[in-house]
Amino acid sequence: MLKLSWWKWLCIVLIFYTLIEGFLGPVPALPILNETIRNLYFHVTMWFAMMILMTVSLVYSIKYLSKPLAHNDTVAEMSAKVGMLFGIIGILTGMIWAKNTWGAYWVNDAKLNGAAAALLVYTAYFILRNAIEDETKRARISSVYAIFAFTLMMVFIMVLPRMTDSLHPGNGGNPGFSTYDLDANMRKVFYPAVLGFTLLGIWIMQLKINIKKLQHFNDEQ
Amino acid sequence: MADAFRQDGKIYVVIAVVCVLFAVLFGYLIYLDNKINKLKK
Repeated sequence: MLKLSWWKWLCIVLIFYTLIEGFLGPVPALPILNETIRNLYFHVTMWFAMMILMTVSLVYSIKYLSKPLAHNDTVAEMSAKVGMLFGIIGILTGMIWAKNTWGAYWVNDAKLNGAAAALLVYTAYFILRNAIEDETKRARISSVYAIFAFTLMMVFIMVLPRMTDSLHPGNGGNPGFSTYDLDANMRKVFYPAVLGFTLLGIWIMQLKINIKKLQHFNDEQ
Repeated sequence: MADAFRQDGKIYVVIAVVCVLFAVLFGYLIYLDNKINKLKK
């Protein structure tokens, strides 16, 4: 039990810090948002963790193309799977937040539709993987697609919402994360929260990779 | 708003519940971690 790697302990400490400080820490009193501003620690961090995991997937896909090791492909697959999990949690938590501040579970907002489209792009990645029987072929084709999927995700959730009006902060002229609008007290919880949830994702990813390797080993026996 | 939220004091109950929830989840994650590592050997 105590043999855990240091970063797993760090993950546990950061998440408990987020839970406690996230509820107790001082937050700015803003109209409409009221206490829901604390969702910044639990909703926005999901998307940050997802983007970091998808970046891992991109890096390992490129690594696979330059060095075709089965390990690189497995990491690319599993990080995308855990990233997808965070994306789904991000959508669900966002819907609850939207209902209580914007008035509906789903509003016709560029960022929401973009996020949904990005998740569909990654759904296609998993379908593509399942559709190819041959292992090396599957790894090669899905590595190429993963690069494409990452680019589309960035366009859908980082570029397009900034080019039109969006209810999300930081888009279409709304204030966002620039120095003057994210409260200094909130930063102290937000950044550790991003790191904590990302490490949690990496942890689950590592377990999934080990399970897949064990299955592979079992199949060969 | 933010002040009234803490004044009634009972927010601590929610924090306690959430911490228990995550403690159990982490306990389970650590259990799985050890189990998979043992299988790997």
